[in-house]
Amino acid sequence: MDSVSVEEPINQKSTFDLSFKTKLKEINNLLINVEKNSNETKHFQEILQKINELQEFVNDSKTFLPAYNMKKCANEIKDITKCYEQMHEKVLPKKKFTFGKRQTKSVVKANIEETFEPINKSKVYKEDYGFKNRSNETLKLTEDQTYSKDIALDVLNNCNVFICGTPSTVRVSSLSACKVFACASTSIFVENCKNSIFVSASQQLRIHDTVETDFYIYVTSSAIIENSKQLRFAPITLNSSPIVKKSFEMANFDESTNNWKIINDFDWLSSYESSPNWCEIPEKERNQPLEENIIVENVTI
Amino acid sequence: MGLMTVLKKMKQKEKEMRILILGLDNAGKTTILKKYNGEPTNTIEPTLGFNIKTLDHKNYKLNVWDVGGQKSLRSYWRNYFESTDGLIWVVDSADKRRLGDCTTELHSLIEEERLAGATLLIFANKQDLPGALSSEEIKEVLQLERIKTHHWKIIHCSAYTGENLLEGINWMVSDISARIFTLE
Repeated sequence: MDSVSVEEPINQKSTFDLSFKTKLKEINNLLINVEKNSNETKHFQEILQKINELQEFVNDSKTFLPAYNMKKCANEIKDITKCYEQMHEKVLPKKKFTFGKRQTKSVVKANIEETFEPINKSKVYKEDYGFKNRSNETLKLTEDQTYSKDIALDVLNNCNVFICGTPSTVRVSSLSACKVFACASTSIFVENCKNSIFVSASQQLRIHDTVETDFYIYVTSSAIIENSKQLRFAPITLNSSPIVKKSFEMANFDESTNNWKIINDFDWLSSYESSPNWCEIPEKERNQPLEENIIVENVTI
Repeated sequence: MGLMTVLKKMKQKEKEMRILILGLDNAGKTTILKKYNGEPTNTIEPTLGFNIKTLDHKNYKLNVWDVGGQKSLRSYWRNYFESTDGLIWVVDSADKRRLGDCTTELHSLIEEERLAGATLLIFANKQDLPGALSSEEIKEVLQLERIKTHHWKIIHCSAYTGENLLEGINWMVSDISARIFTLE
């Protein structure tokens, strides 16, 4: 294709421009005619077909048309389609149209709005394993309880949570002032948490709507954050977390491939500047909570 | 006009189809695409932006677009609607909590006029997980019976094992081709 001369696309383009204009004008004329003296369905059919042809014509010319022209043409087609729809509404208001996609759409849309109600959640929501609505406690799930399961933590306040073993996924929502220790064979999903600490290992880590929270993590792919602020990340120290370490080995994770530093912030798309929503925990400040301290504390209470 | 005709002919001969994969985040869209393309699926991360692959399937050229499903990206979905022949909606069958979101997003897509002609395939993905709902249950929750504007079909699958992925794309391609190419 390197040998194609520069002139050709220009010629193509001007040929295209010319025939696009002619066709557009033709449709316009038809529309004007229809308004003046006709109210037959078949005229509308003809116009719709012409519009579709025009659209196809533009699509076929994609290969040589610059993006700007494509967009311009698309807009013009959109405008004329709108014109057509308005005209149709005006001239043939009562008849229900069924052949054109655009007409059926508006009819069905009304249907959906009338009848669409989200299904009652309890009907489908089978309770996951986990904890809900607890505060000031130390909570623990054993290996047998978690193996290949989906674990959910919901609305916990000032709790320490140990998830032993290798659940398939862990979903954490609405925690405050909690410490969570978990390892999941696929993904961990954190949402709406604040002022907490996570010590975790997983293939994926997704964090939504969370603030002021520290993560000591292992991830094989990379973590993502969305609508979150003041998050801090550091690599997990497996040796100070025997529970996670044991699960880590069961899940066959490889300690040498920890991507804890690669955090994709979906609200920060610039690659020149780093996101203001998260940072690394400076080495001096790293203070991964020790499992044994918590367990001992709890026993002494 | 000569070159135009040649170009047009070429395009028809190639039989291109444009397929868009959408769904909530973590549904498995990228895994499905990578599986189709024979790439490893163990290091997939949440998609920031989109992936595009061209697949050859039964003499058709499939341009497959996989667009990220995170909340902040959903408003960009519309930029990918134009001239879509087939829409694959991927559902994480094990994520019961978000099936409500999933239903709402799907039904608002269906009303989109630029997707009006598209064939709709729903993948009830992650069937390998023990907590997954069956495709029958998903069909009920997503209220698929309400969809009258599109040709649609739901197929249970596992992008992880590859189960039923081929069946899905076969149905989609034959439905699209019956619609587009036999009319000419």
